[in-house]
Amino acid sequence: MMAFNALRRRGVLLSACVVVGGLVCAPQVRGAERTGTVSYTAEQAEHGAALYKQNCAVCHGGTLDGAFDTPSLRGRLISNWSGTTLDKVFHYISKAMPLFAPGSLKPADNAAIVAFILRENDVAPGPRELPSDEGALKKISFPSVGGKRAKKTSSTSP
Amino acid sequence: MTGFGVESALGKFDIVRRRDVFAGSLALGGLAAGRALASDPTGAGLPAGSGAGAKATGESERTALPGTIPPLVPIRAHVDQIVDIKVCLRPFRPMGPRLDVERIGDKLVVHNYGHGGSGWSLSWGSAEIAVGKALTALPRQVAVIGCGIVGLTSALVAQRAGLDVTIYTKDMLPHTRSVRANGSWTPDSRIALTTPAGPEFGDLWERMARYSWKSYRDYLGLPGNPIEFRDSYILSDKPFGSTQEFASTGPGDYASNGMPRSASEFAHYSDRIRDVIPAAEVIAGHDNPFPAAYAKREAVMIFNFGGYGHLLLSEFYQAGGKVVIREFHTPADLKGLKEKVVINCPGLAARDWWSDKTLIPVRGQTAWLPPQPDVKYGVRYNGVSALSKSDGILIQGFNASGLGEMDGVGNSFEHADRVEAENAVTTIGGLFSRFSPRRG
Ligand SMILES: Cc1cc2nc3c(=O)[nH]c(=O)nc-3n(C[C@H](O)[C@H](O)[C@H](O)COP(=O)(O)OP(=O)(O)OC[C@H]3O[C@@H](n4cnc5c(N)ncnc54)[C@H](O)[C@@H]3O)c2cc1C
Ligand code: HEC
Repeated sequence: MMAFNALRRRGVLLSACVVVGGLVCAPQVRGAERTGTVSYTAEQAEHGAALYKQNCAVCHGGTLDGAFDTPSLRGRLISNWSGTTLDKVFHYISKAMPLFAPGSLKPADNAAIVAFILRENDVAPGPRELPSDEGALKKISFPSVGGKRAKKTSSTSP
Repeated sequence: MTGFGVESALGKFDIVRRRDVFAGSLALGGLAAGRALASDPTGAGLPAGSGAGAKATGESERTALPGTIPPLVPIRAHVDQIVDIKVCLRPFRPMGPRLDVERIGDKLVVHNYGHGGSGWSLSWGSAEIAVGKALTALPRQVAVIGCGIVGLTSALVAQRAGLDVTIYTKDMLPHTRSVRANGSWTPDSRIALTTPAGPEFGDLWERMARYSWKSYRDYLGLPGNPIEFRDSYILSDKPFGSTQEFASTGPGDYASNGMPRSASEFAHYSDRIRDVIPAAEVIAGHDNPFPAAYAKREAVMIFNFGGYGHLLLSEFYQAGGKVVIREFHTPADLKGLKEKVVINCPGLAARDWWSDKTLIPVRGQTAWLPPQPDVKYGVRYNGVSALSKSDGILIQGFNASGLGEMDGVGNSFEHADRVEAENAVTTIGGLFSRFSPRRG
């Protein structure tokens, strides 16, 4: 299951399953790296999707892919935040985003947006909502995203 | 929309078709004989100054301000000046470039190949996507296979993301197909066929094109002009208003033959980014210095292979990049690499070493004359484009077959055709033998 271990340039040893923007791998949760287990509900992520569309998509794009001057919230996001706890990205979004009106969203809305971003990075939903207080989020590691292995063949038709 | 060569001239047809403009022949107006000229709106361009294109887009083609045509030094195009003939096979994939991910043993392989006639143009955006996928595996180091423009750019993007990068390649850039291209901004030249690519590919294409366009701006205005803008004069003896239809090479289409049969199967997307790409402007008759009745001008971004290639390579080395000369024969050869994440950029060679049978070679040829630094423009006339680049005057005959984007499809004769080169040079030579510099 685990693809391989990689020593990140941040110096954090992380086990990483490979995920491929949902293209190849079937998504699967791998939370519980450190203490708390990542869980968000499907409804929460749905709510986050609507908020994202309203507040974030104009810059980060409808598919979260970003643009030249705006970071992608998929792929690279994993490598930028892996090794931290979830309060960090929550805090960042709460304080810095949306860029045109930083800090304008309620904590519950920001948690919903984080849930949506996790979903878009192939973290599967769970039974409990993602909390919206930093204390609780501090106990949850930014998930290394799990996924089934890409097909183990050398077939060439994508 | 762009370009000096077939890479773009043909795409132009489609742009205007989708603008619902009455069609024109544009630069292809005077192509080699034997082509059907029909009347349905498949061509490009407008009668000079007519403004007839306004219907669909609420926009008419602008006429250039008088006095904005600078004195033009004629291009000296003679067959006895040919210094080089370069032949290239475009790595064309009907469904668009391959950017998916495969796991081979303990390696994660991110593919980045199959960019048709658009590899230079899309290199940065495509690399950004490939590296984004590689990063999800949290690697500290990656291997890049291939040192064509796609591999080298991928390597730089990976370095900029903080990774240690080794390029494994059979050949360095000067020996790759990449440097046998035209080298103009032509982001949707033979990039895909409309049907196999499907509607989603347009979004991906747009992302790549916009990202690349912005990335290249960082290389403008540097010593040696690795990247620069040139005026391209599009010339025609006939009004930009008549239409052209491309013949088919046989019955059916890609779905039924596994091979496209007609230029109309090729996808075009450049309309999606026209908000940032300079539009062509019509040159009024009295301002037109060329011995062709109809002229337009567009500002086109070009890539000077020598200056740009050396710059990229030195950036790569300065950032600690390593190059290992090595040829891979089967995917199993990856086993020996120390890197767990591999970005695979072999261009058309993926057909052989990765057995990707979806790749179709599309032959193209350029002839090169000595540099003429006082010539600061390009022209496109009668199916031939000439472009003054820092490393020489490039002359490319396109559409000699009259098949439009089908020209060269499936042809893997990667060998110089001297006659074709001389014909192209003679077309440009003939144009300038009638050119009156006084009017320029
Ligand atoms: C006539 C012509 C005009 C063109 N004009 C333009 C233009 O104006 N604008 C534009 O954007 N595009 C243009 N193109 C398209 C462009 O040239 C290609 O899309 C681009 O060069 C593809 O680059 P690449 O890096 O994928 O492939 P390549 O340049 O073929 O590089 C492949 C690399 O992989 C290495 N490699 C291959 N196989 C192996 C192996 N088995 N083991 C190890 N290494 C291997 C090679 O040595 C090489 O370094 C043109 C093409 C042609 C033919
Ligand atoms: C006006 C444009 C804009 C809007 C709207 C916007 N962002 Fe951003 N976002 C940016 C830019 C630009 C950056 C990079 C900032 C920097 O590096 O200083 C960024 C960075 C981020 C990052 C950090 C990415 C990383 O990998 O480090 C996250 C997460 C993020 N934004 C989330 C959001 C969310 C969630 C919203 C909506 C609530 C949002 N953004 C709205 C422009 C925007």
